[in-house]
Amino acid sequence: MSERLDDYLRDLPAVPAPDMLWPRIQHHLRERRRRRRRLIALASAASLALWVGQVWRVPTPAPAAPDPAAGMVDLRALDHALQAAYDRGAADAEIDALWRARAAALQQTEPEGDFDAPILRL
Amino acid sequence: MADMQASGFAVELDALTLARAQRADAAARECIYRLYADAAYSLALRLTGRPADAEDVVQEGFVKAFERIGSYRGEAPFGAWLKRLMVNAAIDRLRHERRWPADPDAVEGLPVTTHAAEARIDALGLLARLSPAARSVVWLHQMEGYSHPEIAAMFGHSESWSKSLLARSLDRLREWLQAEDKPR
Repeated sequence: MSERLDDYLRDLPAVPAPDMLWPRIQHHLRERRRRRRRLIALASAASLALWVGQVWRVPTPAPAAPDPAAGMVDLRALDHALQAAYDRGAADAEIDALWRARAAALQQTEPEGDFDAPILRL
Repeated sequence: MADMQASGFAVELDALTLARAQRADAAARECIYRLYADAAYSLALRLTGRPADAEDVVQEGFVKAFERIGSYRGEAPFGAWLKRLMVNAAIDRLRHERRWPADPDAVEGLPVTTHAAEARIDALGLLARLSPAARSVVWLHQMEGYSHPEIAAMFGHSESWSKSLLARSLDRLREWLQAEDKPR
Protein backbone atom coordinates (compact mmCIF):
# COMPACT_ATOMS: atom_id res chain seq x y z
CA MET A 1 0.00 0.00 0.00
CA SER A 2 2.97 2.27 0.72
CA GLU A 3 4.27 1.79 -2.82
CA ARG A 4 0.81 2.34 -4.18
CA LEU A 5 0.60 5.65 -2.35
CA ASP A 6 4.06 6.73 -3.57
CA ASP A 7 3.09 5.80 -7.13
CA TYR A 8 -0.10 7.78 -6.75
CA LEU A 9 1.81 10.87 -5.59
CA ARG A 10 4.48 10.47 -8.28
CA ASP A 11 1.83 10.20 -10.97
CA LEU A 12 0.06 13.39 -10.02
CA PRO A 13 -0.01 15.50 -13.18
CA ALA A 14 2.49 18.32 -13.68
CA VAL A 15 0.74 21.65 -13.70
CA PRO A 16 1.72 24.12 -16.43
CA ALA A 17 2.93 27.45 -15.09
CA PRO A 18 0.63 30.36 -16.00
CA ASP A 19 1.69 32.27 -19.14
CA MET A 20 1.86 35.60 -17.35
CA LEU A 21 4.43 34.38 -14.86
CA TRP A 22 7.55 34.96 -16.97
CA PRO A 23 6.73 38.64 -17.78
CA ARG A 24 6.03 39.11 -14.08
CA ILE A 25 9.42 37.65 -13.14
CA GLN A 26 11.17 39.80 -15.76
CA HIS A 27 9.44 42.90 -14.43
CA HIS A 28 10.41 42.00 -10.88
CA LEU A 29 14.05 41.42 -11.87
CA ARG A 30 14.15 44.81 -13.66
CA GLU A 31 12.62 46.54 -10.62
CA ARG A 32 15.14 44.96 -8.26
CA ARG A 33 18.02 45.94 -10.57
CA ARG A 34 16.70 49.52 -10.86
CA ARG A 35 16.29 49.77 -7.07
CA ARG A 36 19.81 48.45 -6.53
CA ARG A 37 21.28 50.95 -9.04
CA ARG A 38 19.35 53.79 -7.39
CA LEU A 39 20.72 52.79 -3.99
CA ILE A 40 24.27 52.58 -5.35
CA ALA A 41 23.87 56.01 -7.02
CA LEU A 42 22.53 57.51 -3.80
CA ALA A 43 25.32 56.02 -1.75
CA SER A 44 27.94 57.27 -4.25
CA ALA A 45 26.42 60.77 -4.28
CA ALA A 46 26.41 60.87 -0.48
CA SER A 47 30.05 59.73 -0.31
CA LEU A 48 31.06 62.30 -2.95
CA ALA A 49 29.25 65.09 -1.10
CA LEU A 50 30.99 64.09 2.12
CA TRP A 51 34.39 64.00 0.42
CA VAL A 52 33.90 67.35 -1.34
CA GLY A 53 32.72 68.88 1.92
CA GLN A 54 35.87 67.76 3.67
CA VAL A 55 38.29 68.73 0.94
CA TRP A 56 36.81 72.14 0.11
CA ARG A 57 35.82 73.20 3.57
CA VAL A 58 36.73 76.99 3.92
CA PRO A 59 38.67 77.45 7.16
CA THR A 60 36.69 79.58 9.59
CA PRO A 61 38.74 82.66 10.55
CA ALA A 62 39.75 82.61 14.18
CA PRO A 63 38.58 85.62 16.22
CA ALA A 64 41.18 88.35 15.86
CA ALA A 65 43.31 88.81 18.94
CA PRO A 66 44.24 92.38 19.85
CA ASP A 67 47.59 93.33 18.39
CA PRO A 68 49.73 94.78 21.21
CA ALA A 69 52.21 96.29 18.73
CA ALA A 70 49.43 98.26 17.01
CA GLY A 71 48.30 99.51 20.43
CA MET A 72 51.82 100.77 21.17
CA VAL A 73 51.93 102.71 17.87
CA ASP A 74 48.55 104.37 18.74
CA LEU A 75 49.82 105.22 22.19
CA ARG A 76 52.98 106.85 20.82
CA ALA A 77 50.97 108.86 18.32
CA LEU A 78 48.65 110.06 21.10
CA ASP A 79 51.67 111.03 23.22
CA HIS A 80 53.04 113.16 20.31
CA ALA A 81 49.59 114.70 19.81
CA LEU A 82 49.36 115.56 23.52
CA GLN A 83 52.87 117.07 23.53
CA ALA A 84 52.01 119.16 20.46
CA ALA A 85 48.70 120.27 22.04
CA TYR A 86 50.50 121.48 25.19
CA ASP A 87 53.18 123.18 23.07
CA ARG A 88 50.71 125.24 21.13
CA GLY A 89 48.51 125.96 24.19
CA ALA A 90 45.47 124.00 23.03
CA ALA A 91 42.09 124.28 24.77
CA ASP A 92 41.38 122.12 27.84
CA ALA A 93 38.60 120.25 25.98
CA GLU A 94 41.02 119.15 23.24
CA ILE A 95 43.62 118.06 25.78
CA ASP A 96 40.97 116.16 27.84
CA ALA A 97 39.79 114.33 24.70
CA LEU A 98 43.40 113.34 23.91
CA TRP A 99 43.91 112.02 27.45
CA ARG A 100 40.63 109.96 27.22
CA ALA A 101 41.81 108.51 23.90
CA ARG A 102 45.21 107.69 25.40
CA ALA A 103 43.57 105.96 28.39
CA ALA A 104 41.44 103.86 26.03
CA ALA A 105 44.47 102.95 23.89
CA LEU A 106 46.41 102.03 27.00
CA GLN A 107 43.61 99.66 28.08
CA GLN A 108 43.78 97.86 24.73
CA THR A 109 47.50 97.22 25.05
CA GLU A 110 47.17 95.60 28.49
CA PRO A 111 46.76 91.79 28.57
CA GLU A 112 43.56 90.36 30.04
CA GLY A 113 44.04 89.04 33.49
CA ASP A 114 42.86 89.07 37.01
CA PHE A 115 43.55 92.60 38.02
CA ASP A 116 42.27 91.98 41.51
CA ALA A 117 44.90 89.33 42.14
CA PRO A 118 47.56 90.45 44.58
CA ILE A 119 50.94 91.31 43.13
CA LEU A 120 53.36 88.76 44.42
CA ARG A 121 56.45 89.81 42.54
CA LEU A 122 57.74 93.01 41.02
CA MET B 1 20.76 22.07 -25.34
CA ALA B 2 18.77 20.48 -22.58
CA ASP B 3 18.30 16.77 -22.20
CA MET B 4 14.77 16.30 -23.53
CA GLN B 5 14.48 12.71 -22.22
CA ALA B 6 14.33 13.86 -18.62
CA SER B 7 11.51 15.89 -17.17
CA GLY B 8 10.89 18.30 -14.37
CA PHE B 9 13.91 19.30 -12.33
CA ALA B 10 15.83 16.33 -13.77
CA VAL B 11 16.23 18.15 -17.08
CA GLU B 12 19.91 18.91 -17.57
CA LEU B 13 21.06 22.41 -18.34
CA ASP B 14 23.80 22.77 -20.95
CA ALA B 15 27.00 24.59 -20.00
CA LEU B 16 26.64 27.28 -22.68
CA THR B 17 23.16 28.38 -21.54
CA LEU B 18 24.36 28.38 -17.95
CA ALA B 19 27.42 30.50 -18.80
CA ARG B 20 25.28 32.98 -20.73
CA ALA B 21 22.76 33.20 -17.90
CA GLN B 22 25.62 33.85 -15.48
CA ARG B 23 26.46 36.88 -17.64
CA ALA B 24 22.82 38.03 -17.24
CA ASP B 25 21.89 37.16 -20.83
CA ALA B 26 18.11 37.65 -21.05
CA ALA B 27 17.54 34.93 -23.67
CA ALA B 28 19.47 32.37 -21.61
CA ARG B 29 17.48 33.26 -18.53
CA GLU B 30 14.23 32.78 -20.41
CA CYS B 31 15.49 29.43 -21.70
CA ILE B 32 16.16 28.29 -18.12
CA TYR B 33 12.75 29.50 -17.03
CA ARG B 34 11.01 27.59 -19.84
CA LEU B 35 12.93 24.42 -18.95
CA TYR B 36 11.96 24.38 -15.28
CA ALA B 37 8.84 26.55 -14.95
CA ASP B 38 6.26 23.74 -14.97
CA ALA B 39 8.22 21.63 -12.49
CA ALA B 40 8.68 24.66 -10.24
CA TYR B 41 5.04 25.61 -10.41
CA SER B 42 3.84 22.05 -9.74
CA LEU B 43 6.14 21.77 -6.74
CA ALA B 44 5.08 25.16 -5.40
CA LEU B 45 1.41 24.33 -5.83
CA ARG B 46 1.80 21.02 -4.00
CA LEU B 47 3.57 22.72 -1.12
CA THR B 48 1.40 25.81 -0.77
CA GLY B 49 -1.89 24.41 -2.02
CA ARG B 50 -2.98 27.72 -3.58
CA PRO B 51 -2.31 28.88 -7.16
CA ALA B 52 -1.71 32.53 -6.16
CA ASP B 53 0.82 31.48 -3.54
CA ALA B 54 2.45 29.07 -5.97
CA GLU B 55 2.95 31.90 -8.49
CA ASP B 56 4.57 34.07 -5.83
CA VAL B 57 6.84 31.22 -4.81
CA VAL B 58 7.92 30.53 -8.40
CA GLN B 59 8.60 34.24 -8.93
CA GLU B 60 10.65 34.50 -5.74
CA GLY B 61 12.50 31.27 -6.52
CA PHE B 62 13.51 32.32 -10.04
CA VAL B 63 14.44 35.85 -8.99
CA LYS B 64 16.73 34.43 -6.31
CA ALA B 65 18.11 31.88 -8.75
CA PHE B 66 19.02 34.54 -11.33
CA GLU B 67 20.51 36.79 -8.68
CA ARG B 68 22.65 33.96 -7.31
CA ILE B 69 23.39 32.10 -10.52
CA GLY B 70 26.83 33.71 -10.66
CA SER B 71 27.83 31.79 -7.55
CA TYR B 72 26.49 28.44 -8.82
CA ARG B 73 29.57 26.24 -9.34
CA GLY B 74 27.91 23.00 -10.39
CA GLU B 75 28.42 21.07 -7.14
CA ALA B 76 24.89 19.67 -7.60
CA PRO B 77 22.88 19.38 -10.84
CA PHE B 78 21.33 22.72 -11.74
CA GLY B 79 17.78 21.33 -11.40
CA ALA B 80 18.48 20.14 -7.86
CA TRP B 81 19.95 23.52 -6.96
CA LEU B 82 16.91 25.32 -8.36
CA LYS B 83 14.50 22.92 -6.65
CA ARG B 84 16.13 23.66 -3.31
CA LEU B 85 15.58 27.39 -3.87
CA MET B 86 11.91 26.73 -4.73
CA VAL B 87 11.34 24.59 -1.63
CA ASN B 88 12.95 27.24 0.57
CA ALA B 89 10.84 29.97 -1.03
CA ALA B 90 7.67 27.92 -0.44
CA ILE B 91 8.51 27.21 3.20
CA ASP B 92 9.39 30.87 3.78
CA ARG B 93 6.07 31.91 2.32
CA LEU B 94 4.08 29.44 4.39
CA ARG B 95 5.88 30.56 7.52
CA HIS B 96 5.39 34.27 6.81
CA GLU B 97 1.73 33.75 6.10
CA ARG B 98 1.40 31.71 9.28
CA ARG B 99 -0.50 29.17 7.31
CA TRP B 100 -0.01 26.64 10.04
CA PRO B 101 -3.33 26.32 11.80
CA ALA B 102 -3.72 26.84 15.53
CA ASP B 103 -3.23 23.11 15.83
CA PRO B 104 0.01 22.34 13.93
CA ASP B 105 -0.69 18.63 14.30
CA ALA B 106 -3.90 18.80 12.27
CA VAL B 107 -3.83 16.35 9.39
CA GLU B 108 -6.96 17.32 7.52
CA GLY B 109 -7.49 20.75 5.96
CA LEU B 110 -10.64 22.80 5.57
CA PRO B 111 -13.36 21.40 3.31
CA VAL B 112 -13.18 22.58 -0.29
CA THR B 113 -16.21 24.61 -1.34
CA THR B 114 -15.40 26.95 -4.23
CA HIS B 115 -15.26 26.17 -7.93
CA ALA B 116 -11.64 27.43 -8.23
CA ALA B 117 -10.63 25.18 -5.40
CA GLU B 118 -12.19 22.21 -7.18
CA ALA B 119 -9.91 22.82 -10.17
CA ARG B 120 -6.96 22.85 -7.80
CA ILE B 121 -7.90 19.38 -6.55
CA ASP B 122 -7.07 17.88 -9.95
CA ALA B 123 -3.47 18.95 -9.56
CA LEU B 124 -3.17 18.09 -5.92
CA GLY B 125 -5.28 14.95 -5.85
CA LEU B 126 -5.86 13.63 -2.36
CA LEU B 127 -3.18 16.01 -1.04
CA ALA B 128 -5.77 18.79 -1.31
CA ARG B 129 -7.64 17.27 1.62
CA LEU B 130 -4.64 17.61 3.93
CA SER B 131 -3.78 20.64 6.04
CA PRO B 132 -0.96 22.83 4.62
CA ALA B 133 1.57 21.50 7.13
CA ALA B 134 0.60 17.86 6.59
CA ARG B 135 0.68 18.24 2.81
CA SER B 136 4.13 19.87 2.88
CA VAL B 137 5.59 17.24 5.18
CA VAL B 138 4.21 14.38 3.06
CA TRP B 139 5.48 15.86 -0.19
CA LEU B 140 8.91 16.85 1.09
CA HIS B 141 9.53 13.48 2.74
CA GLN B 142 7.95 11.08 0.25
CA MET B 143 8.66 12.82 -3.05
CA GLU B 144 11.62 15.13 -2.47
CA GLY B 145 13.60 12.92 -0.10
CA TYR B 146 13.94 15.37 2.78
CA SER B 147 14.82 13.82 6.14
CA HIS B 148 12.89 14.43 9.35
CA PRO B 149 15.68 16.58 10.86
CA GLU B 150 15.67 18.74 7.71
CA ILE B 151 11.89 19.09 7.72
CA ALA B 152 11.84 19.83 11.45
CA ALA B 153 14.46 22.57 10.97
CA MET B 154 12.55 24.10 8.06
CA PHE B 155 9.29 24.31 9.98
CA GLY B 156 10.78 25.17 13.35
CA HIS B 157 9.34 22.08 15.01
CA SER B 158 10.80 18.93 16.53
CA GLU B 159 11.70 15.78 14.63
CA SER B 160 8.99 13.89 16.50
CA TRP B 161 6.44 16.43 15.23
CA SER B 162 7.57 15.73 11.67
CA LYS B 163 7.49 11.92 12.17
CA SER B 164 4.12 11.93 13.87
CA LEU B 165 2.47 14.24 11.33
CA LEU B 166 3.88 12.21 8.45
CA ALA B 167 2.70 8.87 9.87
CA ARG B 168 -0.82 10.12 10.54
CA SER B 169 -1.04 11.87 7.14
CA LEU B 170 0.09 8.76 5.28
CA ASP B 171 -2.47 6.66 7.16
CA ARG B 172 -5.19 9.07 6.18
CA LEU B 173 -4.05 9.19 2.54
CA ARG B 174 -4.04 5.37 2.38
CA GLU B 175 -7.58 5.27 3.75
CA TRP B 176 -8.76 7.76 1.16
CA LEU B 177 -6.94 5.92 -1.61
CA GLN B 178 -8.53 2.62 -0.61
CA ALA B 179 -11.93 4.27 -0.47
CA GLU B 180 -11.42 5.58 -4.00
CA ASP B 181 -10.46 2.11 -5.26
CA LYS B 182 -13.63 0.46 -3.94
CA PRO B 183 -16.32 -0.02 -6.61
CA ARG B 184 -19.25 2.34 -6.11
